[in-house]
Amino acid sequence: MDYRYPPDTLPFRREVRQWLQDNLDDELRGLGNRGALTAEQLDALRRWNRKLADAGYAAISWPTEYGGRAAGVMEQVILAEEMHRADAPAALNPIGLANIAPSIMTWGTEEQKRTLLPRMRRGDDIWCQGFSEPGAGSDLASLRCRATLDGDDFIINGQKVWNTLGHFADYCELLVRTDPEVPKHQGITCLLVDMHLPGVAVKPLTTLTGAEEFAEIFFTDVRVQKSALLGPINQGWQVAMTTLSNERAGVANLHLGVRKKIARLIQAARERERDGKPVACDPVVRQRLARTYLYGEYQKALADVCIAGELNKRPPGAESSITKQSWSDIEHMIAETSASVLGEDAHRGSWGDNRLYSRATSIAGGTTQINKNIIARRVLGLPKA
Amino acid sequence: MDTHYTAEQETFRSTMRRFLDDQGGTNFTRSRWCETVPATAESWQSMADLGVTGLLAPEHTGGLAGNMTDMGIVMEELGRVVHPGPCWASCIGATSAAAVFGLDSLLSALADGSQTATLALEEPGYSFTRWQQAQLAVTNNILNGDKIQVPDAIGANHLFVTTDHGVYLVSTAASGLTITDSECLDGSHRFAAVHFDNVAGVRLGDNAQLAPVVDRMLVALCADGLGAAQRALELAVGYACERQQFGQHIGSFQAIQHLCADMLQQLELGRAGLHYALWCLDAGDPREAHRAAVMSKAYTSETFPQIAANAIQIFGGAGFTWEYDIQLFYKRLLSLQMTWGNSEVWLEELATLVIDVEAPPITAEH
Repeated sequence: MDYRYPPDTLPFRREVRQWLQDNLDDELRGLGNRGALTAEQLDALRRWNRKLADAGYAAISWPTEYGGRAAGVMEQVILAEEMHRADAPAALNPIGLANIAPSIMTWGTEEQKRTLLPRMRRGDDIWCQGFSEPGAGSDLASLRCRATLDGDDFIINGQKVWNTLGHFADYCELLVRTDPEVPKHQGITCLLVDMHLPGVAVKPLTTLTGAEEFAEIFFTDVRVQKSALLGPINQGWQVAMTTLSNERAGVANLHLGVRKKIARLIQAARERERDGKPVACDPVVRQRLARTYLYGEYQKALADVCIAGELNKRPPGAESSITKQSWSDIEHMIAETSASVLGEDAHRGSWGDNRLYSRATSIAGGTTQINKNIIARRVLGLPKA
Repeated sequence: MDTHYTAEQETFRSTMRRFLDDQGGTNFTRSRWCETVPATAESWQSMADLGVTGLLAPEHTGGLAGNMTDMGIVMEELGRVVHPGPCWASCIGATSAAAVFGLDSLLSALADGSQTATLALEEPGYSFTRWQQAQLAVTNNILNGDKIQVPDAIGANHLFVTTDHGVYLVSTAASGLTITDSECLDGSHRFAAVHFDNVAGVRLGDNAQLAPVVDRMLVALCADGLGAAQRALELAVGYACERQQFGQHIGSFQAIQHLCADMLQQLELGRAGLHYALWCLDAGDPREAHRAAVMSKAYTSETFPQIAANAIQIFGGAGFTWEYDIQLFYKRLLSLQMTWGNSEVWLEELATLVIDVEAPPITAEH
């Protein structure tokens, strides 16, 4: 056992830290791609994305032929750590870079790879995923958005929902039903759709926080050429799974985010007074806050196991399957603890948003309940009903 | 960087597991339920032959000069069969304490398995975390007072005792010493109350010198708990794959599946934190080792008993019988919960480390 990061990663950390110090403007710090963005903020993020891309930091895990660095897991983790440390916004296409690009690299034509990937990397095109539908959430494969062949074109009709960045997107990785007669997983096709085509209507979706964060996308007789196909027709499920299974190096971001919030809560507990004493002296608050801190630290320990697994080329184990739900448990815990520490101030500003937003963490990207079904069958080997 | 045991260490684990299985596994524990295991016992001598008693002792005292990550394997495996005996108290606690104070002849006796010893730290009416401020009174090297929750004191040859004048070594044969077995629902671990009535002892040093030893003990206890909790989950999953109701295996019911997934999550988080703590104990940064040990004991005390409780729930009525083993694991983890401070006590200690003081800022890198 050795929990120290390999010493040969130090130069890369120094390089990134210096670059961020030289290039990150104060107005960009803390600007995320979560929540409603103004047009000016979006422009600022686009400029930032280009800077990142031109310096080689926008898609470091990509192979060099597509403008990446073919970076290993350690470099990805260190970049994430340094970006968090500097409060730097991530690249604009988080889903595109991590999820859509691997599918294009695996299944795409040379033409698709050459034209789409460089623009995605620089943030020139913003990408969204068109997967979920009003009637297809956890049961994604039951999706009904149709595409029918008309000569050499597909005609798309249907609705998608929960599209992150959908209202800014230039392209969509869209899952459509092309064969309704076969079992549900076998009749799905993946299309790469230009969002500016006639018949595409995007409506911002207002979440319970009041922010227009996601979008709904409506397709009415949208005509795309056959060249929009990603992968073979009716094999869209496999294409989609390539996308979803490529999420491993992101574990570091989970603990970095929660530990930063916990540090802020500890600081607040020291500074605030209640009944003439610092809140940090309240024995009940101390227990809750200490427990929250502990779980944040354990999320880091779990990430270390995942990272070391990747580094030593072991297949993902139980630790990988629980990372997402243990993270969402901590997000819930932080939300509750913030109320203990901050009182009514927990319901204002960023802490208020955080408390509401925490509900999304156990829903988005696969609900905790679906995740538990998968863990029970695939990790523990319990029988199917 | 790696968070896993090496192949060589895994071989050692297999040897350990085979030895314990050959000994009868949980049947061995059942046969010695509520009994103490003296150093003269055949089972203890075989632990010595295996190298467990001398694992942490320095080479010049006949030991193997092993480290705590090695010892973590031993404890996990002992926990898997709820093994009885003074390994925790003697092979980790007393051996580490004897090394701190340079007691080479005692180290030799502990390493070859001819003697055992333990640590008497906790006092009635005080949280365990106050152990350094012991009240037990010493005048002219004569000890008067009481200690509780002393692990495996019956059968031990020596006690390391914290007092108001530092750490003393006391022979259990000393006159004025009364050792009384404490009732505990867990028959696989023995604890005792020790009464000192004008007992002579030898001063070894300051109480604070035992701090790294206590951190080792806390983490080792959690490693025992990891083995027990892991086995409890395995037994529950095994039963859920076998037991049928309504014409189906109960493991196909989502209610059971989600319970098992929750147990796995609690277990794996605990494993991640524990392995980090074991590594810290060997890595030579006492402050970080203490923080990791405190977190491990707080976490383990709170969550591992829940894993075993849920395992009993999955066994249903069978889980509430003496016949099925799952009760043994529940009891083992309940005694872990209370031994040397429960989770509330250790969360309070964690609060003093990270909330009260200007804690080191959260940095991404270690």
